[in-house]
Amino acid sequence: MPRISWTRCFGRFASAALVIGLACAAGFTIQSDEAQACSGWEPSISDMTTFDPGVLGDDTWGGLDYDPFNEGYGGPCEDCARKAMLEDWHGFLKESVTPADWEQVLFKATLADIFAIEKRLAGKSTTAPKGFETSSLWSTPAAAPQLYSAVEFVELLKRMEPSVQFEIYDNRPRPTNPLVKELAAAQRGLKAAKEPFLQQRYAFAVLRSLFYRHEWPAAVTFYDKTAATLSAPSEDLKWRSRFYVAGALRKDGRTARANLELARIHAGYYALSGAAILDFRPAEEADWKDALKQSKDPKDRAALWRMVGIKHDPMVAAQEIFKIDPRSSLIPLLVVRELSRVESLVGRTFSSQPDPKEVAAQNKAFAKVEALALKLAVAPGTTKPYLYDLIAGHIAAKRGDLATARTRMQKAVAGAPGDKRVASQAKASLAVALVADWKLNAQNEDELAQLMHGIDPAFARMSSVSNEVRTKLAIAYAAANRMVDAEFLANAVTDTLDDGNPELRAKIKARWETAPFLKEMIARTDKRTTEFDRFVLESSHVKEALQQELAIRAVLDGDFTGAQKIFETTAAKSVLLHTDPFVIHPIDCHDCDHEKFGEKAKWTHKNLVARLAELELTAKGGGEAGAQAALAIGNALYNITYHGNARTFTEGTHQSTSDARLAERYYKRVYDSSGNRELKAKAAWLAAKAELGTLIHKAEVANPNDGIDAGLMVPKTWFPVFAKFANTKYYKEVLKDCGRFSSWATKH
Amino acid sequence: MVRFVSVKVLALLLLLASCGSRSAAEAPPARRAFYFWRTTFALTPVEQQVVAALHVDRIYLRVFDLAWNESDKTVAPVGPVTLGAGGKVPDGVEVVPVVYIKTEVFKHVGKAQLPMLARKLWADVQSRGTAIGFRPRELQLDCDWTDTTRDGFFALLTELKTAAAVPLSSTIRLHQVKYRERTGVPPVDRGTLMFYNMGKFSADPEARMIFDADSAAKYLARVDDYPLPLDVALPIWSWTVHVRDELVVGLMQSTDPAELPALDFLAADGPDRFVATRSTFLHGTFLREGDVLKIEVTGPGETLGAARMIAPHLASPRTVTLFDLSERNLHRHATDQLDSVFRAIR
Repeated sequence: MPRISWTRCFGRFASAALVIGLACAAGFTIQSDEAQACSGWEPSISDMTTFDPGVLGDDTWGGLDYDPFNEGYGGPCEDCARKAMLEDWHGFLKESVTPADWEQVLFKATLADIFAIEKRLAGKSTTAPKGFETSSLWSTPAAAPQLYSAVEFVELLKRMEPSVQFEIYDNRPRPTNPLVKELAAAQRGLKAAKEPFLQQRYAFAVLRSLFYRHEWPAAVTFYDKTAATLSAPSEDLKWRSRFYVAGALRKDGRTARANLELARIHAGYYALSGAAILDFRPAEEADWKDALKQSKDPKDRAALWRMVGIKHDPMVAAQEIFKIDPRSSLIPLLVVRELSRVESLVGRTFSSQPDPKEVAAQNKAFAKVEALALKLAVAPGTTKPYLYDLIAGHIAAKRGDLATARTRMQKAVAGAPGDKRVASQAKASLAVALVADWKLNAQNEDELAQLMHGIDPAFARMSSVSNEVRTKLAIAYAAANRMVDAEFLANAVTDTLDDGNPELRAKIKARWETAPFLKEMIARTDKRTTEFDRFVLESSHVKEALQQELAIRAVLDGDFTGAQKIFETTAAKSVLLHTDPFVIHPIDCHDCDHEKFGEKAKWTHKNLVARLAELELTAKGGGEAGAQAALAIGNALYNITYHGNARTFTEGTHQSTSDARLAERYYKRVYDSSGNRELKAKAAWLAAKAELGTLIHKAEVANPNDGIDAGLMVPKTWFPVFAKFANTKYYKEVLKDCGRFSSWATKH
Repeated sequence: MVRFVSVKVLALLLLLASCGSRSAAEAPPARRAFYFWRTTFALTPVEQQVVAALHVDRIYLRVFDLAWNESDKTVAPVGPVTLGAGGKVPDGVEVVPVVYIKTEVFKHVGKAQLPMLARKLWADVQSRGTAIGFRPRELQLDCDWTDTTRDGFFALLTELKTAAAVPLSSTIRLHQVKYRERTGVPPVDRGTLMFYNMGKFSADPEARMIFDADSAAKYLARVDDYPLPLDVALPIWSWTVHVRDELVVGLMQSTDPAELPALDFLAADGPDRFVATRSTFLHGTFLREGDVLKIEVTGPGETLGAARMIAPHLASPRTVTLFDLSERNLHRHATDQLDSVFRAIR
């Protein structure tokens, strides 16, 4: 998950008041639009929740970190069918052939290869098909009859393939009466097979043939009559047969039983559970009641409710399963699933306050889960009551009820001694409770830091808990005007929910663009006295990057010597810029310059700054040499803005800018001081470009929410000046290349 | 002096008024169309009568959705339209096939696979067209692309230009108009602006999700200079909104609001609002006891209002398409009311 950029994090909590004032004014009016515009992105459940389902231990079934919005819970299993098939065959063929050689027969052999293999195994030929010359198929002559019967079955599979396997976007016309011969062959094979292994496989082939022939009632009847044969020895085929019959039942309009079979599959066979729940679709009350009626025992009924719980409503399902079997491990699973759903109802963002309606709905839903958890915690027969104490404690924590959260967490931890996950969740929940109603004092700071540092690093919700805690703290510290701490706390937040707020961002950016604030930030990196001091700094801004920002700030303020000194006396970060910042064109081409100079350019932050300081000395000397030096400085200053080829200089910092006024000042110096008309023309044109860049910058600052139409902007100061140089070579070059200027020149 | 100024202003107003009316009068009438979104193509007698009475000469027919099938890792057509008993394309009506493409497709299919995908998609559209009884002369793609999926969608459109060799059109959502700098403009011949689905989902009884004039107004300024010729789609449908704890949890698109009063597990709770009295299933949706079903109706007034609002922002020639053709919607919108809607966008 990418880390958020500085503008996104700091821009969200300069102060609580500012957040409310600005974010509400601008944020809500465009919120629905933004939501649609960003609909391509989705946060994961682990981003949105702070309760680790891992506390359920083995009850999460398959170790899955489930998601209340994921219907496909439990699957799909990519290679389960292939693995199971290979294992099944190995169990049957044992050492007659190596698994690799048999895999080749199953998945790579063509029908022609199969015929040739059969011929050789039957002793009618001594040649092997290409690629099978050294196969272990031929190494045990005594195994030939068994291998022959196996290959004969594979031949049937290969013959069926075109009618039962489809390519990506397969729109081949389907034959009207498919698999006639294959069905007959499968039926013959079933009759003739002696070994249960082949009997089961031929029976499965019959079932599949009937299914793909769309003979739904016949498929169901065959399944019911042959259930015993279809059930063993392969566990995989047993469940796949059931899956086919569920499909046939649905196609035949027998929805209730189809759903019951799917529920059994989901409860019984991991490899098909994902596919089963996707197909589980009770439609109306009648067919749902019918499914319940057809269930044979409490296990069946629990399986049906499990599907409802996972796919539709964990709360109702948990209560129904409790009535069936209070000890069922599905109950805490479903309650935690509901807890996750409810916790994810409200998005946590910095720049907009949560929707009060969503908060109200969440509170109502939390109250229902809490009531159920408290009831289950003391219900006779409940297993692991500590889970319900943990859940109820977490809900108390989310509403900021620290005292209740403490009591419940103590009980939960006492109920699960030595359980690291439970202990970590308890600490995480208490940290959430502390910040929910944060009182800024040393005792709280100390407790919070200890709680956060006490959570097992492997805790599955570490990231979201840290985000929630740091977000709320950052807002609190910003409100208390401790902006440096707020910024450190905020920068470590991985926020996938917030799109930022342009106005607020601009205000914060202004603060970052001052040397005193940068110096305060640098100084804070050395303050590590208390555990909380260290917690604030964790995973946040680092000194080297802040020193680099300070040096960049100095450059943008025109203090090249000061910037040079920072690079020389500190560990300020300096990296290759992948371009030549002194190259300039009448029309900018950022990508061309990076392509041309990227690999060989020597320029870094440090040597660029040193060169600027050197050029400044020459520029101050005046004369044509001074003018040339000023031009070079202007070019570099222009290029490090967003318009130029060296924006990498400020990239990833808070200093990135499209304001080209400083560059314009240097170009003006060239224009004023040079006697060379070509150089003056060039300086005037480059000043015009810088002026245009600043116009764009000002428009962006004034209208952060709207796109800027730069096409209408004209540098009113420098176009007329440049127009006076119509007889220069440079002018003609510009006129040829620049439509904006040629169009302006035609009208003036 | 005052009198002189007034005369000047009056002259200007007259000039503006005459310019406006002249252009409207000279504009050719908009083509009239319906979207047909069911999976069985067969117009009922009522639908046939309305199509004929309104002189509708085009039906945009959803032929299938294109989706990613996670279990077998394929792109597959989902819910293809089939020809229903007695179904036929009405005389004089052109059918434009529409393929709805789920954006998830572009998260899985690489650029190298797009030419093949385009060829197969077009072949599938043609074969389904043949089965239903029309030959496509235009293909419309419907995709809620965003800045993260635009590259894939636009690349597929480019491939389709070669594969299909008929004009392409694309549905354009309002956010795609407003944020065109981010979401881009699709490489197609025309766009159909979906002038609906604009409100924020809300359980608020007053909230309008299908068409909300205030929300619509915010987009209008950016419609005029959208760099594609635009047709428009207007809403005539109603839907049932599933609400829990005063939050929308889903839309029940296959639930006819008219059937709700008769269901014994729902109790009326004010106009257009029902409460579930027990937990159960309704058309595939699980209702929890206490859940609320809220009906949002798009009536003739709303549709006409939408038409009048968008009309000045569309250039001629243009097609006006109503979403969607079904008896359920026609019961709420009389033929003469629909005629007024079409007339509002000449």
